[in-house]
Amino acid sequence: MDRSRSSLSFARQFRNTVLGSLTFLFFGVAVAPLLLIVYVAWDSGKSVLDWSFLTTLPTGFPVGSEGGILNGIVGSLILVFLASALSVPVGVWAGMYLWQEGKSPVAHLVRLLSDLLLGVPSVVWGIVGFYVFSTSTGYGLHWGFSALAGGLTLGFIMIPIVTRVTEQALREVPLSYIEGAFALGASRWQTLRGVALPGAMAGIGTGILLGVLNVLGQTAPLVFTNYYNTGIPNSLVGSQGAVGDLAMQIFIYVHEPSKAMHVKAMAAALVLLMIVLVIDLGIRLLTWGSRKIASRV
Amino acid sequence: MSVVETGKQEKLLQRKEALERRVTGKETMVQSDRIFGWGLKAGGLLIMALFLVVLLVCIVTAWPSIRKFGFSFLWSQAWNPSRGIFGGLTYIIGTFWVTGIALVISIPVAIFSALFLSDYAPKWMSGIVSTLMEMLAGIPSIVFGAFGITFMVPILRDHLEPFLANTLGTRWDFFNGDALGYGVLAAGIVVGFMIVPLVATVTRDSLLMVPQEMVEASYALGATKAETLFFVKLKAVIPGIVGSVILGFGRAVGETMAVLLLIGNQASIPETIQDVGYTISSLLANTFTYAVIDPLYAAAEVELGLILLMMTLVVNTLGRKLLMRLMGGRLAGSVGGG
Repeated sequence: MDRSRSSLSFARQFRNTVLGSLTFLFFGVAVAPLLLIVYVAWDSGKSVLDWSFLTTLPTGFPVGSEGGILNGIVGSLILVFLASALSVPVGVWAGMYLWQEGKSPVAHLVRLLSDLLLGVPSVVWGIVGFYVFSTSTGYGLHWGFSALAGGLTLGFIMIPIVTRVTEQALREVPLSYIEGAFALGASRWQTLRGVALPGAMAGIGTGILLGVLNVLGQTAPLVFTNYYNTGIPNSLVGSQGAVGDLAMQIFIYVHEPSKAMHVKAMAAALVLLMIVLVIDLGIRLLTWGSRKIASRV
Repeated sequence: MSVVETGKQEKLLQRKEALERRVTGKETMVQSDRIFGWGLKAGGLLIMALFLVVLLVCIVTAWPSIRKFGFSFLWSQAWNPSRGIFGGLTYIIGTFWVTGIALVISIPVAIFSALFLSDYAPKWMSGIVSTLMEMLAGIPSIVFGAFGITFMVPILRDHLEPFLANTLGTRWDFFNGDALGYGVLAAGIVVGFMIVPLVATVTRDSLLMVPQEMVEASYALGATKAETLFFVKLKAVIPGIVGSVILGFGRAVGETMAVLLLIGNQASIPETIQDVGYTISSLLANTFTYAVIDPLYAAAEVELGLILLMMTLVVNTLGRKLLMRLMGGRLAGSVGGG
């Protein structure tokens, strides 16, 4: 294009330059929040962030004005574990089904429903979790506001993520491998277990981490099913079974009308942000070759 | 012939038939495969069951409210828990305010960014810039909200909102207000930035699908790079842009924690962009735990949730259909925000 540029009218050259620079400018505007949020969280949270902040329970009045966020870190781990325990088997199972029966009308319906579940708002998941697990009246499991109720609700959210990524990862296993297994006389089950699943393991692992990322940041469903605990509970169900959670902790601290609590909230946000960004970056580095998976959910 | 021999013959016959079926391709599954197939189908059933549970829980628990108020729930503003009268208009309109502002902000930013990602960014940095954009999508809603409270609200209160009121506000009341910082503008801006990565990556993906011949033809006719991108390529991916915006809408309406922290949570219909308001999701997250004591109150709140759910289901089905046709099945999803 360089040769023809000299013969272009000034107006067209000008427009060409302006529009090109605008795309760069708007890209900068789009990613500015990422850098700005990390900077603001670091800048206002760093004064309270030290080792004891990560390893002590919150104390003082209002609760959290002294001490740290150990309850939130432990609680988030418990919730993520419970969510994965439900969603990994179910999601991988459903993903295998979609891979196996990819083109049948029923599979199309299941794929549509799974995709729609991906878009269900988190407050609706909260309502569902409340009436399935937490409610104390009517039908439901009557577990109260508890870690199990919260964790399984988050598991619901994770299921469609794991399903989609599992199917995609299985599809990326070369067809010739599958055909080779069949040609050797393997049954479908043997083919899936021995050839397809091992080949897709990296992709499925990525999918699980993506689900975990999503679940770590979820707050709204926990308002309906687990709420918050300033300590670490002995049980996972019942009225004493709620756990703390980093996201809920930020929410509660930010609601306190005091500057000191906002600083604590930003420090907790920095911790959550670091966990999320490190997992995220890890996934992307691990799957740099096949970027498709990581960018798809 | 003895009974034993008859049995043997029948078995042989069955095996022969089975063999014939396998050879002629009428049936190629062995018994274990059939069991395996049924087992797999159960995995599909679980997804259907989960979807049904979501729908049923919402419909059944919202039923008292649906029966009592009917369609008037959609256009009545009355929300009086102590007198048992409920209408959701305030929250529905509040939701549209935030979503509208979010889309107005995110669409231009996302489209220009997508063009940068697909065509302007040099090869060596395209991986890095795409990663930055996608990592932005991973920031939790609550962190966006906390950031909004500590960083954005003061800027809005002290600078942007007074500025809007003094310039555009003198002609159009739409931009006027009390410059509180909190309100639909703050919530809309933050939600807008939250959906930029989704809209931008889907638009970028459709831009990458534009046939190279089309671009080359445009250059051959003497068009500049910008002319080619804006008049040829963008035009070709309008369905993709519409699809991505639809997905962005689906994400924005359900956004909860950031909105809850920034919108001001006051049950009134906003009249200007500086007004405070309330959205469906922030109302539910704020008051549902009090509402469950009264079945009708809870039902009214769940009905609002059901309206939200229906909006996202319709919108995501539409967006998915548009993008499916464009990209042949590979499409980005829309995970409901926290």
